[in-house]
Amino acid sequence: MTKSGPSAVAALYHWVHGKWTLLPARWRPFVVNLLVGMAIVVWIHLNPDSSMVKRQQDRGLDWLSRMVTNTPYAPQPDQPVVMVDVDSATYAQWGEPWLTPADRIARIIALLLDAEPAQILVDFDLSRRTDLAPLADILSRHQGGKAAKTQLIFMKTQASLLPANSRLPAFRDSALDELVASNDNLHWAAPLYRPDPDGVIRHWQLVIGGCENDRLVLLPSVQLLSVMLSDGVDKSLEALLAPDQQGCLAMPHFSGRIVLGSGKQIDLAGEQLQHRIVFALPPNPESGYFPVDWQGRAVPALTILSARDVLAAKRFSTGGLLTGAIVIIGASHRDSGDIHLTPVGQMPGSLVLANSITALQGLDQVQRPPFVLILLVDLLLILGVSWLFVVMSPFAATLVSSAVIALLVVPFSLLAFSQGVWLDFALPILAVQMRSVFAKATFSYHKVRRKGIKGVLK
Amino acid sequence: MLAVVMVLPSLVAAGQAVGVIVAANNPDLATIAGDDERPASLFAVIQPGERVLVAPGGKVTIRYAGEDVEVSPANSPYRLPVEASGDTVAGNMLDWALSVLGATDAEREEPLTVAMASRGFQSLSLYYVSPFDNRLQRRDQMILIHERGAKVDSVRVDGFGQDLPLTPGQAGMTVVDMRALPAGNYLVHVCAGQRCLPVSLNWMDPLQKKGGEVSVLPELAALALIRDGDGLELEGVQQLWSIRASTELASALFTRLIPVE
Repeated sequence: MTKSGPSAVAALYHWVHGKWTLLPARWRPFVVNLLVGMAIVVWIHLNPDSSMVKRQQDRGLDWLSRMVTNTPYAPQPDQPVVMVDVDSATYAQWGEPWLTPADRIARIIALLLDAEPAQILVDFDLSRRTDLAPLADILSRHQGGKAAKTQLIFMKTQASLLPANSRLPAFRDSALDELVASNDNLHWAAPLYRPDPDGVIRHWQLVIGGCENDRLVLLPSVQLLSVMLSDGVDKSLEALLAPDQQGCLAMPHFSGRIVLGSGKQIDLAGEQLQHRIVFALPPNPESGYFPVDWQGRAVPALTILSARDVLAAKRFSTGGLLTGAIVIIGASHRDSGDIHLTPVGQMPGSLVLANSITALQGLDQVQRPPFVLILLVDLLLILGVSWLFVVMSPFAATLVSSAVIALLVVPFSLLAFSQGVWLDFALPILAVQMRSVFAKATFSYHKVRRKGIKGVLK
Repeated sequence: MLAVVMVLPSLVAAGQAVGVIVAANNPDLATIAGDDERPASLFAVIQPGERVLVAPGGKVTIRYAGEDVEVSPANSPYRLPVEASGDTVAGNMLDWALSVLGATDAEREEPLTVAMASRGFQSLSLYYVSPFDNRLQRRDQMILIHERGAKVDSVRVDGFGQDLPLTPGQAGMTVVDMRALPAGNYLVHVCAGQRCLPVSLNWMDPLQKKGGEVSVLPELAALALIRDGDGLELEGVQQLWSIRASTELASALFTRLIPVE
């Protein structure tokens, strides 16, 4: 360090100290609050991947998700979703089978195909099974003109063990592999999610990489494939692989976005926030699911039917809810092992898929607003809260600032969130509130020590 | 403020509900009457104000604003009332506040049994209690626990020279006569149909306590097999015997094991 270094610091210190002493005593906490709040805003911006920021972000987004779920502020699906559910009653009626019988899945699919839904998602693991002949029989007939109206999506899972010289597991084989490969209306997709350390599913993986014969193979997630089939897409997933991708030796990295036929852009890379699932469809809402506009009328965003009722039906309604809808055939009984924790409660995997599709259809990926806007909004809030702590007691200031946040900032956040924008205002405000309360408490403590209780009460 | 003005109305207002037929025993016997008349078959949408008529012998279930309404000749014609469906932000906020205050604890405390059990693959295998390894104390019998519909055809032990005798037990289990198998490390092949599951087994002599006293143990061991990816794992369980009174799952497993004794 040069000689001028320490002297420059000292000069700066004296300058700041001089200005500080000129400041009226009652405004000093205001300035400190401002500096503390803005420092936190900048720190959050510079450390988006720190565990504390992520935890705070998760809490905030969990809360907002819970507020908007099943309301007009949640993502709105492009078409209704219908779920044919192997529920506990169906499972019991079928004699609690070890594996969901393929012949019954086949019969359900055959019935549904007549009603011409846009997509049928079959949410059962069909790998490693030798009883799929009834299903293969139905699917082999699903081609030609009318068949193109319904796309069928099956779930592809991955083996637990990694192949030699690979960081990526292989996709499991299925007796349907050849059939799916030869039919344009049949598809594999990945139903794989990675829960957070607390076991809650909050994020999706849009593309899953697997290793086949030392070669990287990409499989779209269910929700990505669903929107790609609905809207069309400008390029293949492989075209977006980062140039330095090392085959099976690294997780797939993407650069760039795919553009759907509707003009919507989906970023395959991006920060974790962009891969957050906004759960629009909670499990078992008391007042039913919110309505969506569909072919000139309002229909429930999600309708769940028991598989046994579907199989028992002699006829489906023509032009009813099913035509053009997305249908998910899944299981919700406890033995399915497919029940998961989400920010809006426990739900079967098929409902997680329905939420993921709805979120990707109805919402642009969750984004953070420009840093300048964050800085501006947080600055205004911190100024307001700090001023309240100058002119009021800590108790009153905490009450008033919390009420203002609830009345002004929460609706603003909801509105922004419904557009896919997440404004994280809570941490800086909370820090300012806590710092103010702590500073006042410290001041009172020193006062008591200096004057004693009686002196303070005089 | 503009945001507040825009948001506030819909904080408290949900959308208008429509009904959907979610079960129908015979669509020929049920009709929806509104601007037009159409069969009340599965997936039919019913608008508020429309009526559902059910003839004798018919029954339909309408999902409406979160409720299932059964319509039979007894309450036919049934007119769909005008109600809202979906939630509101205000309602969600109230639910959240109540949950924070503990008002919904009763809901959360609904009895729920979760089995710490895993499904195996295909016909072989099943329940497991973790964590255990594959060291089993010798017993006269070993119980293979498996899917109810499965049948174990043979149990072969590498280096032993003969299949172990099997006795079919109740559905879901097979009793293996282990008396001939001396202590040692083995690879055991449990076969059902075309599939064989290899299981490494450390078949140990009974443990002796400090004073040289041989612990008295029931002559029974249980083996449960699960698939782990492309491999197979043994998950079980001589310790199961000693913990049967203390864990729900062990107790449940022994409920199945006891008749085989």
